[in-house]
Amino acid sequence: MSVSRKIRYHLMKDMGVPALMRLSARGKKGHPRRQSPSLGPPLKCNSRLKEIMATHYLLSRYAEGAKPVAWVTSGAPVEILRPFGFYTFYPENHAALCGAQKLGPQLCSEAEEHGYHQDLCSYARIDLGHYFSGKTPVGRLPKPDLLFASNKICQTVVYWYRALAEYWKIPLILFDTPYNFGEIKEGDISYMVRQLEEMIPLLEQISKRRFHHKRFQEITRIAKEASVTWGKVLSTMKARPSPMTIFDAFNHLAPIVSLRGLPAALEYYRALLDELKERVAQGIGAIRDERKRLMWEPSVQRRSSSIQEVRSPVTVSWKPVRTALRQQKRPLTRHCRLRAYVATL
Amino acid sequence: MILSGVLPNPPEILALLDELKIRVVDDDLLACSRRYLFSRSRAEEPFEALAERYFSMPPCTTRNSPIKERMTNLLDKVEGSNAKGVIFCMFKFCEPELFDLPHLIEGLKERGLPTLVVDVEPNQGLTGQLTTRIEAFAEMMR
Repeated sequence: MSVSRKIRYHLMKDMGVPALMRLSARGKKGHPRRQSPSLGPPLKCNSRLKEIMATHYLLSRYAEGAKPVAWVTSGAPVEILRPFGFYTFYPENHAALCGAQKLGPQLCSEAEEHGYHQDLCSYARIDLGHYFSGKTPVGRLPKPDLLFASNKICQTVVYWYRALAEYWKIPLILFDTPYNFGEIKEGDISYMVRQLEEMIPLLEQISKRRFHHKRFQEITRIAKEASVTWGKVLSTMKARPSPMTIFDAFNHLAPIVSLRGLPAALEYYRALLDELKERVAQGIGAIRDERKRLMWEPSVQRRSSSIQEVRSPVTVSWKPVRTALRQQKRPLTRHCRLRAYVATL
Repeated sequence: MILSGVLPNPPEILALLDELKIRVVDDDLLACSRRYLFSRSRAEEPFEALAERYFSMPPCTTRNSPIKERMTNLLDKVEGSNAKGVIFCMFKFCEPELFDLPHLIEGLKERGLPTLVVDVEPNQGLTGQLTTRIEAFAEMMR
């Protein structure tokens, strides 16, 4: 990490990128996107969401060399990375972006030319295609120092990240989560806690920074609040008419995935919740004439399937781990027998 | 030749290899040697013995082994058996194996070893096309 790169990063973060965002917002005014007449007025927060995510991508270019960079999967507990100052980057989110920009087939075929089978996940093929070709709609991606994966909501990421670890020749840390059929068990919690404890010395080594328990507590608090607020955002959809559609929800989950644990995500969801509550109070629906309601089943759900129980997958099983980490003052040990698995170090 | 992948499928492949006078000298198959080769544990506690046995098995995609370990294991087999090529017996949509495949093929190619990838669906049977591909591969190795 060089001093000049750090200075450049902070200058961009505090001044350069916000100025660019203001400029680009000014340029876009007066060109509202045409939308279907059966849809209600679009959310005001949409522009703020675009700004947050564009900032995240733009800033990532300056993170390399200024901050340790981690590529993470969507179910991974990024909270543990934040006290070490990692810049977290989500290849899954990037792949979706490539798909939206219609770069999917091109990038997939790059990976296929290198022997990756067409049957494999297209997110992974797009990402590997980027590895081989360097093509991306966001200019350039920051080179990772660490790969951080969790098999919580997807097993494929483990195979995909194993391949990345081999290409980049960098460590891969896997957070292995037990499958949860019913209520979470004590043994499962300690299994996860011990993996996190085992990761800390490795993360200290990679980031060359010490772990601060206080900072970690603060980050988990912000992350939890953001998750709870996101849960409230989703539950506004119980109102009739629903103030947003499930597709809005998919768009607006980007900050809880990419920026969880950072104050920006929490502020954003508070603003979004306020807007949605206002729409509910005024009876503004996402669809002008709402007649039929369908429920989108989340990938991870608890046994009782009443609508109140439906939460984002991110919010379900983290709470017990966070509580356990806060409560247990057990010394952090390198001798966990269970694996926080490191491919190369 | 060495067989790698999941399982020789359809089983008629083995008869075809016999016909072509090709000998399978070792295997790195998920359903064969990767399951059967492990050292016996001396632990008295059954769970401990199970865990020990699990970790002593050869590197395998289903155990999240790093690709490097799989590569070393495969190359050891090639050296130990003096094999002249490797056939990968893949199943369609088998992500754990298919994600490791490009690295393994590349590693073998670097050492001048020809490889053949057979990816089939279960119960598909030995098609004419597959037979031709295996025959061509066998000819290439002579």
